[in-house]
Amino acid sequence: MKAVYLKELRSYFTSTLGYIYIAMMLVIFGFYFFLYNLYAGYVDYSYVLSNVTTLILFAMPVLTMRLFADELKSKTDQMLFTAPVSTAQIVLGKFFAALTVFTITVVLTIPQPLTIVGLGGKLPVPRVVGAYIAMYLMGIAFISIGMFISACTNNPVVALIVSIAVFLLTFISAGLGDLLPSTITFTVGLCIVLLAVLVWFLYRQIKDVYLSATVGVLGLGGLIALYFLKPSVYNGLVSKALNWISITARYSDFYSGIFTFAHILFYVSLAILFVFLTVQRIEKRRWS
Amino acid sequence: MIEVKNLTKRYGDHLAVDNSSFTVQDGEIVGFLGPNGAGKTTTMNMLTGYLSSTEGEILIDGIDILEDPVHAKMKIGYLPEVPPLYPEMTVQEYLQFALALKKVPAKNRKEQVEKLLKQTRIKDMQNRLITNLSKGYKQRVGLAAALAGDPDVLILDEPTAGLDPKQITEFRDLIRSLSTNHTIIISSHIMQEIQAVCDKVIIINHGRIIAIDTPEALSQRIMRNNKLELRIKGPRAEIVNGLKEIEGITSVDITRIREEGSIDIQVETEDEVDVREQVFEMCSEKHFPILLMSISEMTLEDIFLQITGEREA
Repeated sequence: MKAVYLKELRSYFTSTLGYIYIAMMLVIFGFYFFLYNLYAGYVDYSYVLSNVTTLILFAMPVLTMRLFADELKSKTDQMLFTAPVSTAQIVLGKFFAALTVFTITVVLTIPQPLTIVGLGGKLPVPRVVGAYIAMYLMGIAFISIGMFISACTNNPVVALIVSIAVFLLTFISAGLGDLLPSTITFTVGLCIVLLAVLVWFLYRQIKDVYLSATVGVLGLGGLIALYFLKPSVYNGLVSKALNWISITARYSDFYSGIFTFAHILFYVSLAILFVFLTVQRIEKRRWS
Repeated sequence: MIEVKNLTKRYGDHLAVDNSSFTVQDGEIVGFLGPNGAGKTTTMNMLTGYLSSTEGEILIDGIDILEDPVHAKMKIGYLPEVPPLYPEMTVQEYLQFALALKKVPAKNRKEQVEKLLKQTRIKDMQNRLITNLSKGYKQRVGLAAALAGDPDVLILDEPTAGLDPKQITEFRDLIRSLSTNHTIIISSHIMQEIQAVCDKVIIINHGRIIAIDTPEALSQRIMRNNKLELRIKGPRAEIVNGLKEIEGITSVDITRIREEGSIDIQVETEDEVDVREQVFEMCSEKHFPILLMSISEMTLEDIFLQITGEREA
């Protein structure tokens, strides 16, 4: 794991990509810092941290796009996966390398709040620390999702575009829920469509008509039974679900000063889930 | 020792490797021979644990590559068709990384890099970026990485493809020098290549093994037609007629004209009949000087075409 980690970390700085990423991030942070703190004169640095999330969405994929896509493209993955190292170790080595570059960037922004203190501003320390933790956790989740997307293609540019699209979707999903109709019929319909997609996906993966059909029929039965027995479940389900998967919605709690363990758990488990999925994705490539 | 039993790889409905079994003894150089798409690379990818097999098992010194990949992979050095090089690294950095992946302790790496550089004769290139190296040097860097960690088994996929003739000769010498303390598997679709270095040939076509033997035995086994190459000075028609009258000769073909006033002829005879003396006597009688006479041995190419032809017929 250490060998892969060091190689990956070095490659960020021997190629221009690491520098481009750090420059992008610092420009984003610097822009909001100038706008809110220096120009408008607010002392609360957590404003900056809450607003940068929108633009970070575009910078984070730069960090993760070539993690696996590039190796698959140049076939250097053959060296990694024929070495006496487990797939999980390779994935973790790459994950921690990206995390290290992200951490360096975050550390490089710390002089900004310190400037506020230096200029005599009264910084709300707990809020700023909370917002930093939230931003950092969100970054970790973005890195693991981006890494998974990179493992699904052998073209880094595709990985970049898909990652941005996925991150944008999680960003707007909370707002999207309020726009969709909240009637029970619509919700039930959407659930059935989702079930159909799930069954189709299951069939593609296991190629077993009977098992997929059984899952489909049971799922459909469950949805209909629920509709007659306890229709209240469907009330506002769509917007609740979309809010739940929104990575950024949780973030607003942090910067308004609410520090919830559940939210931390959400980000951490999201990161672990996608690291796990990356390992599975790579293992599957060998078996197909 | 490498044991492969009933190895099969299926991609959907396509059979890439079909029920292959073979063993490779310690210290042997074995050649995989087959046309492009025969399943050589797929077999090698399975031997090195890059791909998993659909059925069958692979044992490297008794260790199953799927059950205990880490220990099995320690014993293998792999040079894929496209050497897996990182262009932004220098040769030295790359070999350091290869050694680290093979779990060579950090304190031994410097000395090991020196050894690899010397072994593959790339010492002058050690501080160059890989992206700036020529094809031949890239191939050697790839081989150096495959040798990292001193594996017992070397698996080389078309190691001389794309090299110029001088580089090919050098690369062959390198492989031969490695054979004293390594078991080597090489793949190629060029017959001379395999003939030049291998102790044993495995001929593969359409994912199936169609013959396993030594290059010499294969030549003998299938030597049905004795072919004779001749270059005789004299009038064309008379030479041909004279040859056709000799007993045992089944066909006479004029292949080309190389020297003024002479013709090159390929003569085919019946099985196990030697007509060289009769040819000499016929020519000396009629005063046709023989400029050249040789028995054309079957190349692996002929053998290969013959075997695959038989199977398909």
